Amino acid sequence: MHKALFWKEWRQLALIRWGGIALGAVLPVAFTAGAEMAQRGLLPTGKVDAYAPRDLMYEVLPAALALGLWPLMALLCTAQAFSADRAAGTESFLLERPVPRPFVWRARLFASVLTLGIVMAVTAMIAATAASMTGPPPEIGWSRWAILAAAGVGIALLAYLGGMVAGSLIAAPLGAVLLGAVLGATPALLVGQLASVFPYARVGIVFLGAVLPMFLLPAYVAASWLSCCRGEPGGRGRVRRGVTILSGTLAGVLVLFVVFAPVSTRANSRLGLHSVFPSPTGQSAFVGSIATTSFGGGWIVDVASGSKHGFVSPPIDDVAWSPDGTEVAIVTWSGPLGSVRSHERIDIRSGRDGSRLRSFPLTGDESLVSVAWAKDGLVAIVAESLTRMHGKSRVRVEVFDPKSGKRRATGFEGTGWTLHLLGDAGGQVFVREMAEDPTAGPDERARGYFLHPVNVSESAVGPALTDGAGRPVKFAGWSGGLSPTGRFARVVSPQGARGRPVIAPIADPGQPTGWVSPPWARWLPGDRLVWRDDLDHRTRMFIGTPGERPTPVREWEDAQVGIEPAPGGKALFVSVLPAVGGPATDPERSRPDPALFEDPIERGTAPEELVYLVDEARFVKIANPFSARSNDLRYTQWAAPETLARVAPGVVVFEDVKEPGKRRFVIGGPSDLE
Amino acid sequence: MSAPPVVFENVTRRFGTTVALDGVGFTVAPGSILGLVGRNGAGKTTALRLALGTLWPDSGSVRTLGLDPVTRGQDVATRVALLSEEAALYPWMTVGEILKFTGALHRRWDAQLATRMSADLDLDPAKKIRQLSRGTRAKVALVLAVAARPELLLLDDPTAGLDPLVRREVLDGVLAAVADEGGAVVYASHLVHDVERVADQVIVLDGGVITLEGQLEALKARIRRARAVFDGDAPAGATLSGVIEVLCDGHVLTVTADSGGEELEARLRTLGAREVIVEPIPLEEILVALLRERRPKGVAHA
Repeated sequence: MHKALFWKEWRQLALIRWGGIALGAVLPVAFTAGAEMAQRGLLPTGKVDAYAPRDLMYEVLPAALALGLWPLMALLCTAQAFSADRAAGTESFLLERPVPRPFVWRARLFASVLTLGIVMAVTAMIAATAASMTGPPPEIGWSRWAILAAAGVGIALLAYLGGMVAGSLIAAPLGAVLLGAVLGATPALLVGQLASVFPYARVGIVFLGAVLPMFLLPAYVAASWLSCCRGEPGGRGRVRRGVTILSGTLAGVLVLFVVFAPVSTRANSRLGLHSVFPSPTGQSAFVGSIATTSFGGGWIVDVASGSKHGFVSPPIDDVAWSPDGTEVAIVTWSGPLGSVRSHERIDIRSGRDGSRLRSFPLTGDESLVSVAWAKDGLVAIVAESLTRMHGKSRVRVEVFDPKSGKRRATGFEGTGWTLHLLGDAGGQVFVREMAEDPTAGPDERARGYFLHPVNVSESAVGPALTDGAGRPVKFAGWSGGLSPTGRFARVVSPQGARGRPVIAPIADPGQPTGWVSPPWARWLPGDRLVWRDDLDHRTRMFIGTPGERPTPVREWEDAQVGIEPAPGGKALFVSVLPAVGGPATDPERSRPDPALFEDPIERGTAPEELVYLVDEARFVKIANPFSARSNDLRYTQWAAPETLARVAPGVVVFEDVKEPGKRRFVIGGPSDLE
Repeated sequence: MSAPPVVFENVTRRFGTTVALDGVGFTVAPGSILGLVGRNGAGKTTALRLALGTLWPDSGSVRTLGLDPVTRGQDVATRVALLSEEAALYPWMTVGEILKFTGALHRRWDAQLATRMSADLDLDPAKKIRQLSRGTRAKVALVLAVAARPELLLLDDPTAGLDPLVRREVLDGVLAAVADEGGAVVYASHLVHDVERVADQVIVLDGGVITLEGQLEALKARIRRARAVFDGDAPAGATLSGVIEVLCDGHVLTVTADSGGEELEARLRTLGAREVIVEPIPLEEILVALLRERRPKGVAHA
């Protein structure tokens, strides 16, 4: 019986089989003829001066097979196999005889799959032969062919399954072809849509949105089988059964996605490395997962207990704490269920429990460059879209009032990335405006920056800070040129952009203190500066007040030293890693004053980790360095003025300076550190 | 004792809002031929497909050869054949191919019988189905049905649209097969002459309900038409038992009734008929009378 049924289905597919092969044989000729006609100007679509037959055969032809002929043949095969008998009125021939309906369904399946496979194989061979007749393959060889063929097989499979269920549900073959195309495209469209809108919903590297819609494919097979093989043979309930399976599976897929997308988004936020944003008061911190270009979600964490409060969905572009630590501004694109919205916004969240207090949505033409929190409001630099401005985007400074929810323009504008925001510990926000030196070469034109104080209550940006003569001060050192009291500035060296910045009184930058500072330096309370500098194989850490002789604090040899001030600047975390061959310094930069390396000073070892208590002028040594090598994906940040955050893949643990070794795991556990 | 070939008990089947069969019950006796007559849309085809199992009842019970066609559809289809007016034959197959193909589907297929019948019916095995006339296609369908050696043959107007010669040929083929096998036949048709020629038992379906049923000969013996002539106007509103149809035309009252000739004559005479002529009527006349009586009011006596 199986043989007879297969024979019948195979014979019924003969026209499609031969038609498909004939079409595949005609395609190379048709493309060549079309290109030739276009070259001769015989086509209304326009004239082409020349065409390359090899490009046609090696690129256009396989694409035409993969995207056109094969999916079309898949739809035609299934329409013929599964709906043609009903359309022709011969369906009842088998229904009235002692033939199990699953036998018929299987015969149709095998015959149509075999027909499609033969058509695909033969047309691929014809096209490959035609291509090889135009010459050897291009430099990339047959790889494009292989990619297009694999894509074509995938598309044909989708079309086949869509066509199979469509043919099982409706009797009109043409309708089955159209419905099959829609059903075949549905999983692909769902994958594209869900994977792009929910990029953080993943299991490992696999997007959840790319996996769950694939459950539709077995549902297509099940819907076809149930429609054809179950229920009343006369057909009552056939469509209802199929539609129930399809809609049920689609609903199930969506429900599963709705359930698992936020769960996986949250779970993924625990993976990988994290960055910690301490609040100024030290009570809370924001711990965010580091994704590719933005933060992949995070939590508001209570520093004392290490417990996590309110989860913040990814992606997160920036985080800014209010000066009193009660609120945190989070720049995000996140949407419901872990999705990503098309528009950016600023969420104001409680610093205590993470609950959202207010949102400032941006329009589709805007994005945020920088946010900083002043004592009486939030300041942001908003960029207009590139497309709207047909070139460099315009950026403007705006003020956001978290209490009233109002957003006000200051009228201060710039272009591109020339503006940024800096906030100081006193709650004053400055607009950092890039200063250009038109006389310098292209690489050194951007030299230093001006600082414009922002008056939040007036929604105004003031003129650049000036020296005693009323000239704008050109600050140096990207991370902070103005001392905490505003008396001193790191200003651009008269030697040029690659020269060392000079420390000078802001009232008279032309009369430097005699200090130069390396590229890395940080201001500490009391207008003290901490920095490290390298001389040959030696690295020293210095602290000093401008105008006075700097004090070397500690020295290392063949070491890479990192220094991170705690919030408030009363402690410094010092991380020392071995650096064979000496520290990595820019050989083109001017050497430091060798006199600074003459005084004998306590020498440290590499590796080691220390906390320097600035006011007490002493080191607290932390045993067993958390990180003993560079590139081991372990690092330390400050979580609070006296609390360190130790970060490793999948681990964030808090450790108090006064109780080293006693840890509070925020993410992960002790076993994850092993 | 073998089970009755077909038993319907209070069977109802709807198609959307249309009631095709409404509480129908009947039994086909073993070895008999049941004529299922009624106009188009009366529910004849639905009844046959319910018996075969390709349709399922909404309520009630169907037993075919003692089996439930819903749950034992394959077993029923093995023992039952359906021969219908528009037999669904694959037009691209040749006669030989469709015989071979069908033979591969039936366990009880009698290839010799198929060959013999094909020869008897003058079928060319090399001809494609699409090249055959309607009558020849009906003959092919007859061979396909009979060669499966069914215990029950369901005929759904198989001779409709055929010329009388072919009709006779097909019917003779069916009767020969039934005689050979001792099986039962349910013959649904609106060609009452054909049914009358072969049926033992008759059921008249109209609007999904049975309006008349019984042994054909008994029905024909029972149902009479009387023509009564009155001196004055005929009593159009007179009450008569078993009346199927009453036609009143001045002094003449024509009554078709299922009440026996003598009783009908006696009753008409008591109503004052001067002259009463009672006569038997053919099945087609009975059917016409029945169907005319069931037409909507205002049309019946026009």
